[in-house]
Parts: sequence; C-alpha cells; structure tokens
Amino acid sequence: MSDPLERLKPRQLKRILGNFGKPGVVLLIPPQEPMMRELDYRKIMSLTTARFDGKQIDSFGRTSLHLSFTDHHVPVYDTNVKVGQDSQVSVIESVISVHDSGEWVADVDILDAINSDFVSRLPALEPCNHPKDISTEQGVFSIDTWDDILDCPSDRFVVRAHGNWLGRLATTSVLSQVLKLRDNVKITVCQPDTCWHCVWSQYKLDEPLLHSFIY
Amino acid sequence: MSTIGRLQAALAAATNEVIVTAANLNFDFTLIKCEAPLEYQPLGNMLAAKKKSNAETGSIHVTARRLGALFEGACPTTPNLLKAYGDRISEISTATSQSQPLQYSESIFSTYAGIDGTSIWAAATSSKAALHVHLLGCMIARIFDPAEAVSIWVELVKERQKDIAYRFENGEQLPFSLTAAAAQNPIPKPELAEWDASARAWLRTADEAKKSEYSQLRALLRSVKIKVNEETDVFPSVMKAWKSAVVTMENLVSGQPQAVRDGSTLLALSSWHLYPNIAVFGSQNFEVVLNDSLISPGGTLSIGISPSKIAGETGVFWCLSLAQLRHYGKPVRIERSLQADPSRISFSQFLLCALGVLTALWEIPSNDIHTAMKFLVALATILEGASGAKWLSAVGRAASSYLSAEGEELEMANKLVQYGRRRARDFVPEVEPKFKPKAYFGLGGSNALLKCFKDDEKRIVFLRNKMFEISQKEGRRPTDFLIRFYPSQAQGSANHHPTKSRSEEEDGTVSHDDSTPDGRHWQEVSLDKTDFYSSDSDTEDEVEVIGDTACYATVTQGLFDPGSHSAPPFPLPQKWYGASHHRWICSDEDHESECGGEFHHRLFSQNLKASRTSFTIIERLRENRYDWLCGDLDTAAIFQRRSARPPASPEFSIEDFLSCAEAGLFSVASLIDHVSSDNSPVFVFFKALATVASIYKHIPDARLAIQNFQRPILQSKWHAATFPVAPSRHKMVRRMFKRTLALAIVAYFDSGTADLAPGDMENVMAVSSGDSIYVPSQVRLTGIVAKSQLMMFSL
Repeated sequence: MSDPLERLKPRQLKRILGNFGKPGVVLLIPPQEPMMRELDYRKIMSLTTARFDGKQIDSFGRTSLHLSFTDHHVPVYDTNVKVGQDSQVSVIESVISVHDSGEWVADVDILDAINSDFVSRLPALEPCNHPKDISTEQGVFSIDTWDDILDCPSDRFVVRAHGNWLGRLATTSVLSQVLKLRDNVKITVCQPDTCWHCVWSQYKLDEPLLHSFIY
Repeated sequence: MSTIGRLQAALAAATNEVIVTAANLNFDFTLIKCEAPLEYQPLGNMLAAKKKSNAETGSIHVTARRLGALFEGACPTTPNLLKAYGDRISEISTATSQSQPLQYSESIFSTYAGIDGTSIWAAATSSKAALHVHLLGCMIARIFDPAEAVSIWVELVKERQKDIAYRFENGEQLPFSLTAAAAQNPIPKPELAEWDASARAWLRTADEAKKSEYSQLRALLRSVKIKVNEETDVFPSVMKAWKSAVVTMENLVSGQPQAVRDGSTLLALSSWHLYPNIAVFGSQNFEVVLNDSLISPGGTLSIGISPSKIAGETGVFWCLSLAQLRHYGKPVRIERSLQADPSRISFSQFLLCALGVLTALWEIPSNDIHTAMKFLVALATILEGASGAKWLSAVGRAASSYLSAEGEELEMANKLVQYGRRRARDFVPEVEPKFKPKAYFGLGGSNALLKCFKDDEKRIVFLRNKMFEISQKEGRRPTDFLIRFYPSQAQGSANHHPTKSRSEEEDGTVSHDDSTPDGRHWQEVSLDKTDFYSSDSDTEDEVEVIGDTACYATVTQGLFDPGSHSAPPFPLPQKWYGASHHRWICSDEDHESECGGEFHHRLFSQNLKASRTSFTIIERLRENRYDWLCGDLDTAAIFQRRSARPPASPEFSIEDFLSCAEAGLFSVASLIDHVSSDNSPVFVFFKALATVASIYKHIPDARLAIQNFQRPILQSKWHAATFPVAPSRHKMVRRMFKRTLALAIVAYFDSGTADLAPGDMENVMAVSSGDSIYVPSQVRLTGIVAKSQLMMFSL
C-alpha cells in the first residue's frame, strides 16, 4: 500500500510472486458494503475535545491491514473456453480489514475510498520560515483514536498519523467510507512537512464545515 | 456401484470387530498432521503464514491426505528420491525467496505472497504416499492444460476407487486405510483443481530458478521424439508412467545407471527438477551432462530411441483419451507434448516476436530482416521525443536489442523473429487489399521519401546524387534530365486545386495533353486572357493549374554546346556555360546570380508549357518535352527528356532512407504526418504494442504465455476498449479506465486464454494468475518504509 499522498500512474502495476490458492485467473473484487465497527453512542465524557497543537505525532502506530476472502468465488463466463469445459477465470470477493492492536475496526474498499471526489491532496505551498510544529488556530480538533474517526466531529480536525504511511492510508480510507453518504465534506491529505501557519492563513471561507486533514 | 456398497457394508462390520483408535474412526483426516521430513523443513520455514496453515490444516491438506491414502501402495518406497526432491525444493525456494525484495513481505498481500509450496508442504505433512502423489501432480501439470489435468485427476480417483473395490471383492488383503479411502465419496473437482493449480504455480517458479538446466534439457528434447507410453486409457497409462518414473529416478539418485525406452522418465526429471546425466542412443549418439549435485555419481540415464519415420515435432508425447474433460460428450482424445520450446517468454522476447510479425505483414523476405531492424531503429531515433510518436519507442528499443545481439543471443532472437513471422496470420489477420500495408510505411519508394525531407535544397542534393551514377555509367548527356521542384515555402500552394487568387503577371499555361499517365484531361487556357477559368471548366473533371512556383534545376553538371541537341534546356547566354549547376527560378528581378556554386537564372515561362507530369520547353522552332521519371510530383521530381533513349531507371530502396536518416535530412513533422496517415492495420498494431509496453515496462520480471500469438491481438476486448468513444473530462474516470485496462492486459497475456473487457473490471483491485499477483500501484506495496516503522506494524 502506498501513502495516499503519492500520485502514482494508474497504469503502473506491480507484480508479486504468489497466488491466492485458486486455480486459473482470479480477479479480486471488493465487497459491496464494507462493514464498520459499531460504536457506543451513549458515551459523552470520553469524547475528544483536544485541540490540534501542530505537533508531529503518530497515534496510529498499532494499525495494520489484512486481506481475506469471503466464500463468494464464482466463475466468470469466459467466451474463449470450449463448450463443456470449465471456465478458467473467476471472481473472488476479497476484504481488506483494518485492525488496531489486533482488534477489528472496519473493512474498507481502498480503491473506491481513495478515489472519492472529496479526497484531495494539499497543494504544495511555498517554502516559508514559519516555525514548524506549532499551530495556533482555534477550532481545530486533534483526532488520535479510531473511535473518533468512526464518529468524527463536524469541524475541522487533524488526524495525527505523522510519518506512518500505513496509518495515513488506513485512516483516509475509513474516513472516506464513513463520510461517503454525507454532503459537503472534504478530506485533505497533507505532506509531512506542512506549515500550518500558511495553511490556516490561506484557508478560504467557503470550505466545507467538516474538513479533515490527514497529517 | 454395488461393489462400493458392499465394501462399505463390510467396513461397517469390520469396525465392530477391530479395535480402532479414535483417530481412525474419524474418516476426516485433518486431525492428523505429521512432522515433515527433514529435507522439507526449510520450505516450511519459508512459506507465508496463511499458505502454511492451509497446507497443514486446510482443504489442501485434506486433499493431500485423501489422495495419499487412496494411492497408498501404488509406488514402492523411494527414500532416496524423496530426500533428493526435498533438498531440491528447499534449494529452489531459498534461492527464490532471496531474489524477491523484502518490502513485499510487509504488505497486506504478505499472507499470499511467496512461492507456492502449498501442495508440497501439505504432502510433506501427510504421508510418504502423498509426496508420491505430489510428484505425479507435477508430471501431469507439466504436460497438460489445467482443464485436462483436472479431468485426468477425476478419472484417476474414480478408477482407483473402483480398482480397490474390485480387489477387495476378490478377497485380496488390503490395508484398512486403503479400503476406507476407497469407500469415501469421490474427491470434489474444485479441490482437485486447487491441487493441480498449486503444482502448476510451483513449476513456474521452479523453472525460473533453474533456467540454465532447463534450457540444456530443452536442447536435448529438440532431438528426441518419444512417447510416454503406449496406453491411451487414463488410469493404466498414468499409473504405469508414474511407477516407472518413480522407480527409475530412485535408482538414478542412488547412483545406478538406468536405461529406459519410454519418455516417462524424461517427463519426470523435467517436472521434478532433478537432472541426472543423460545419454541418448538413436540416429545420433550424444550425452547431456548436467552435473547435478543431488544425483550420486554413476546415475546416468540412457535412452534408446529408434529413429522416427515421420519427421516433424520432437519431444516427449503423451496421448490420452479423457472421458471427464467435458461435462457431456464422448471421451476426448488429446495428445500433449513436452516441448523443447518455452511456453512463457519475457516481454522483450515478446517484442521480438512482434517484430517478426511486422516483417511478415510488410512482406519483407527473411534476408532483409536486418535492414528492417535498422529502419525501425533509424525511424525511432529520428522521431524520438516528438509528440505523437511515442508509440514507436518500445519497438525501436526491441529492434536495437536485436541488432546488438550476438552469438547465442542472436540465435535466440532469430528464432523468436521467425516464430513471429509464422504466427503473423494468426496474430494480425489479413485485411482487404485496400488496407494492405506498405512495406516501411512506403518510405522505400521515392514519393514518400521525398515528401519527408526537411527542405528543397536537400531534396535536390539527394536527387542529384541518385542520378549521378546512372548518368556517369550510361553516358547520359547533361541535358537529358531536369529536376522540377517547388521551393519550400511555396509547397503549401503546390497542390491540386485551382488557386483563384492569381495575379496578372502569371502567365503559366496549361497544355492540353491527352496522354498524361493518369488520364486526366486538361483544359487549354490561352495566354493573357482574363477569363482564365472559362466556363467550360465546369464540364471537365478537374482543372489543374501548375503554378509558377515550380522551379527547375539541373541534375548533372556539364558543358552545354550551343547548336546541337545538347543545347541548354532554357535559353542561356554563352558566358554561363560552365561546369556547375544551374537553376531557373521564378523571381521578379531580372538578374542572374550565383548562389552556393550554382547559377540562378530567371525562369521565363513564355517558353514553357507545363502540366503535372510533363512539361515542354519551346525554344525557337524546337520543342523539348520532358516526362516524369521518378520522385514526388508535389515536392521534387526528376524529368527525363523524351528524346533521350533508353529511359533511365533509378532504383529507390530503403537503403536510401537509411542513408538520408543518418545524414539528418528528414523533417520530423512530415515523417510523423506520413506515418500517421497509414491506414493499414500496421499503424494500429504499433499502437497496441505501445499500450502493452507501457504496462509491462513497470513489471520486467513478468512472463507472458506464448500461445498469445495464436490469438488475434487487434480483436481482443482490451484493444477494442482503447479506442476512445468520448474522452472523459472527469479525471477519476480516466484513471480508473487506465487501471482496468492495465489489469485486463496482464490477465490476457499472463494466462494466454482469458480475454476480459476492461469495462467489466471496474471493481477489480488485483488479478492473480499462475504464480503472480498483479496489483495496481495505487494499492501497491512500497519499500520506502523505514525499518523502525516496520517493527511497529508487527505488533
């Protein structure tokens, strides 16, 4: 998996030595509606209210991604196969799940999530001399747990997974999936050396209310 | 089936009498897992976690156990063979793991990545008989296609069960586990398919690791023609071949020389990657020394073959009659052979075959292949970097690799090109004559060649050089030839439609000429009339007016003698007779000048009557008519005087293109225009190759199935999808299209049989085929992760 910041050419494929144990050509498709962990909505006192202070912290170091298959393994109608023989091409439903410290968080459809309309990369800003690691903007929350991602605030918030490409990819995908059905939301993936001063000063007023930054 | 029923009844009775352990009562053998033999342990350590657990407790373990139990006793004990095989697979898997980059092991595919040793490990943790069954699986997977292999297994299982039941019927003493296995339900087809697929994937990986031995073996196979055995029914044939192979290999590994008359041993040693020295006795006697460390010295295989009366394909053949191949229908008789040829090739080899296809499409004889390669390299060099010509770069690289190959590499390259030539009909089917491809895009002929020059000066130099030899050799007079050319900036107007914006000083005439080569009719227009285009023009086919932009130049240098018929073409004062070239250009000034060693004179068009393919110079009372000889009528052409006999015949060939290309005489834009205007399938073919190349350049270690050359590439679904119906504005849609196209292409070429439409693959995030998983880069694995972060993930 690559960091969501990297824009790789879609035609570029990678070949891995291995197979899934099924005969013939196997196509992997994601499930229709990936599941996510149920939350206990009654908790009030454990809600996050911490503000984002600009520090470069990685709170998602225990996140891991796993691939598994469901039983949905069907052959594809292959016009090249001679009559009476079995098709050599099949489709298998495969699930990518996000785990945190071994506990299941959510299943994601990564390609769909990353390619959503409201996920974008932060445009490169000009280099500046502002001190890094400091953000003094009020009203920006800091998100450090998976529960906060599954039940995210309707404000600007920063998901802190600095330098952890797997965490950034996982949080982006899950967040994108959570927000899929909502209107007027935005997810911005930021570079590891973002200057928050410049970002806030250039922040436009017409940006959506729920705006997430993956840092 | 009544025999099976009676067997089951007998078993039920037996269990009451015999004291059996709890494990034996449970006919599902998954509980039992043995320790794998020592030689196989390194493989176990190297298997990915999921694969290992599947092999030890999953469905494939059940299959291995059941097959092992069913075929118990079919082969004698072979301790040395199993030991050597274990050492060999451990060696291969260690080598392969080391060559695979570490980064992939930390990705989500890590549980599936790595060598497919599942069936080996499942067999190793089951029983010795299961290992024998695995060896048989490799032999079958080596020579038969997947569908055929599965049907062979189904039949084998069925027949073996029947065979055991029959023996039990007749009172033979059989081990309990054997009869129990025979009484069970037949092993389901998907599980057998999984068993076969695992063996197949292992073979692919092992072939890559043992490339050099494999190629030596292939050299041997090219000179033998031998059958596996004479039986055609599946069960007897397979059992016989299996037993014979196992016993022979056991003896060979132990150091005893063996002599065989059938091909089962050859098939076996190719499938098991064990390589004893082989001595072949036939019409020629030779020995292949492979120096395998796992074979004890003295283990030499001698094969005696009688010379085959039928010349033809060589190799090891197996001919079987498969009853289970179709769900419905008569048994299918198939013959498969262990070919000397690779069934999988790398992408650069694929490109060489494609070049062979190209030479066949252009109908270039095999002698000229070298020239054709030089042409492609020259064209690619000229067009390098030009927009609109990126599709040529992959082909150009392949052609230059051909030119720089030598020795064995060159031999291989030639074979690949020849293979492509033979498959051209299948790969790119023939088209109607009007779309017939022109060799070298037509650049071997003078028309197209001259169109692509940078400017008229270069054209004139070229034409002069061309005629130089002819005029020297044949002693032509300098006045016999003239070049007519259109100066570069006027070329836009030197075409066919009447230019109505003429000004009055033009007084070029059009002569009425019945006998022009292309049969056009010209309307005679008189001088000085203002009704330049008379009303009659509507009734003619076309009115073509040769503009006064045409200029004339001499072809050869020479003296002009006044008076005789070698007078200068146009009236010329005596002082200009000299040894240099002359030109007559249209200019307003009335002076003559010298430029670049040539004398420029003003063209007086009163003496000239010109049409498209000929012109006549009228001088005093004499007319000299010049007809088109060679060249391009729109840019520059040589005209020969009618009275000069016999007509000269300069030959244009692709060598002219090559020498001009080297001298840098071509204009990139006009070359691109010319090549793109080719309406034969060749241009489309180039583009398809470029599409495939753009994907395979990121995966250099991928292999393509060679049977792709038997399918027409331009009729594949992915190719049909590359013609843009309507270019999408939305960036996401475009990216997704590129991803689905890439996945469809790798599925097509890797399997050699699948043909998927990119439109059906919108949701697909990865494709697995054989021993490879193809993943789009967006979901790809990166090695940029620092070491410390790797440790965090494994928590």
